Amino acid sequence: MEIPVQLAPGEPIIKMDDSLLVKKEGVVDNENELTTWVEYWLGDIRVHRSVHVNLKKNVSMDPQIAGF
Amino acid sequence: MANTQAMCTSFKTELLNGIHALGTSVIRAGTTPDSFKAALYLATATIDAGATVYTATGEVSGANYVAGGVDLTGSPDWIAPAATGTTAFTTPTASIVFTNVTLATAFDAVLIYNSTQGNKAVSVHTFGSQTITAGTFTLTMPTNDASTGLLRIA
Repeated sequence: MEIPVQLAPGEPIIKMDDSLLVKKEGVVDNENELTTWVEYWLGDIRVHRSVHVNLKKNVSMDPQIAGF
Repeated sequence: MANTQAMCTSFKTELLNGIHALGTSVIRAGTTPDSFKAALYLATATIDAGATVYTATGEVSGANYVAGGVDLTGSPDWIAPAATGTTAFTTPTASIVFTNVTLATAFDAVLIYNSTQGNKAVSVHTFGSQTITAGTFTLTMPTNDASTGLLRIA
């Protein structure tokens, strides 16, 4: 499978076969979010990182009305 | 049977639908929902409830990221506002996706804003600090209900 990669800052994004890369994955699960990430490394260079954040926390308005 | 002081639940839903104008409003071209966008902000930025319109100050930059962010891609952008109990709520119809970007400086917030109404700010949502390298950043929405809908008027 071809993975989009960037070999250095400012370099163009190109495709590279994942067989040449080391894959790392992780998960963060807390009250605010469930986040998963995947990275591909070429040697000691991180050439790809994608993140998927599932938002758990919303914003709400608690309206107040006044009595007379 | 006693009377109960309350803000009417229907009013809350109708606020989300733009039905009531208690102050000076805008002339609307029709009854269709507005269009909205989402922009990402650096972890060092200070965007919060004080935001009134979209700003490029503190916004991320990088390969394939366009200033102003991306359109909400649902049709319409938001699930039709509804209410359960006394809480009105709505949530974007689709995930917010930034495809094939490099965002090398840490970011931790998204501003949702109304691109139809002069880029007026709607909400700021924060998450754990992230960077992206030649990848995709996806924000998936919570379940659209009275407890977890992204925007709620309780």
